[in-house]
Amino acid sequence: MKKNIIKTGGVIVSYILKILMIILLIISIYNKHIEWIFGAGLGIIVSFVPTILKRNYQITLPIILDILITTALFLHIGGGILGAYGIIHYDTLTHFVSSFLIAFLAFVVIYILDEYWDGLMMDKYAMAFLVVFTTIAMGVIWEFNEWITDLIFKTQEQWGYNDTIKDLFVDMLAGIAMAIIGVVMIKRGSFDELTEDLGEQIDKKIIKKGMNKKNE
Amino acid sequence: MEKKYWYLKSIIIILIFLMIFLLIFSINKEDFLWSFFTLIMIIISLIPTLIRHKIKIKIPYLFDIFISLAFIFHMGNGLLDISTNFSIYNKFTHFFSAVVVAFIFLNVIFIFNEYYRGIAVNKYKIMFDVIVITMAFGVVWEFMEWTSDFLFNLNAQPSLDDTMGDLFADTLGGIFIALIGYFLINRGVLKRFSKDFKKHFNNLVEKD
Repeated sequence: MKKNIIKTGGVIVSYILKILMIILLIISIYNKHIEWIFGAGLGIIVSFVPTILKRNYQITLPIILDILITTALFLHIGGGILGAYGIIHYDTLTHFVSSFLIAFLAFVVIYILDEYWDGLMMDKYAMAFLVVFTTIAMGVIWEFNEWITDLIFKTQEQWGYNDTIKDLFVDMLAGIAMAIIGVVMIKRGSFDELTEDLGEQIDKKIIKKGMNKKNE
Repeated sequence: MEKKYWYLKSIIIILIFLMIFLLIFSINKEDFLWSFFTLIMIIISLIPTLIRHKIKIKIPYLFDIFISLAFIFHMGNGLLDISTNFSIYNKFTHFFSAVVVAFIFLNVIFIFNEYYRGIAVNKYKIMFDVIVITMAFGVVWEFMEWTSDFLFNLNAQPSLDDTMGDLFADTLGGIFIALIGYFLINRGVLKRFSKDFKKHFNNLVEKD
């Protein structure tokens, strides 16, 4: 019962954010801001990926993952279209949310592989350790992406040395936050509940299928 | 340890003496911050020897050589300012240090994977772990450079391009050792390297 209420609440929040993104798209069309029309359009499509996965492939992502994806996209698009990146620490907030999303995704993947796949076994602290490092490494890849974009297209994705160090620091904090939350959730059994549907679906559709193919 | 490794031991002794010489040089130069760093580096370089003697674990001598060399290269940067004349030297030191960190973690992960009940992963996962850990250590190193710059105005970090270049060199170091690690695992070299940990591991990690 409680699980269903959380799920329904989560779905409502996710759809409100998606509607807000559509409003942002309309604003960018009205302002003839080509770059952000493309950005908002792409963001809306990506935010519907969890819904598409569920409808077409019967893969149910945890509702928190859905909300995190939509929130990260909404903050980025909103920041660009409404000029919120000019607000102090807004960029830090978007970096934190995106990194937290990556950390959450990494934790979910490692946890499911640990639970359902024979090829990987890790205790919760080793998982937490790896989640922190993976999040930092993904932050570095993101910075490479911005750096190379700036070099090739002469853009201003990276705002400077101090800003990049701050971004990397925020990425690390997000990774540590998720690692702590993840360990606490595993201890309480709530992480298992959260990833149960997705884990069983991946087990059925990918892991067991792969094993059957190997045995044939 | 075995007499047949006398040449490796000699290299280690030469490297430690070189570090002591650089310590004296830094004191003579009145660069006391680098005297402090050099002293710390000498102590860290002696840790494998201490482990060998105190805990009786036969850590390969290659570790000592790699660690000492990485520190000496960094001293060349900070103390002797080689990178002022040869900018590529800074990237080389980063690459080499990343290789050393990656090599140490490759061994640590492999040992945990082999002897610790809580972790069992395949070699591709080990390769992935080595790369992300090395990249993360590169970031921690940049934090340290930023902090030392902030506190002591060392100007270790002149620009964003330099930082990104450092991180790129670190990533390459991680990828390089991950690829080498694949062959070392396949050919059983890491197993031979780490066999001495087997009998100690339960005492060190799984005390229960």
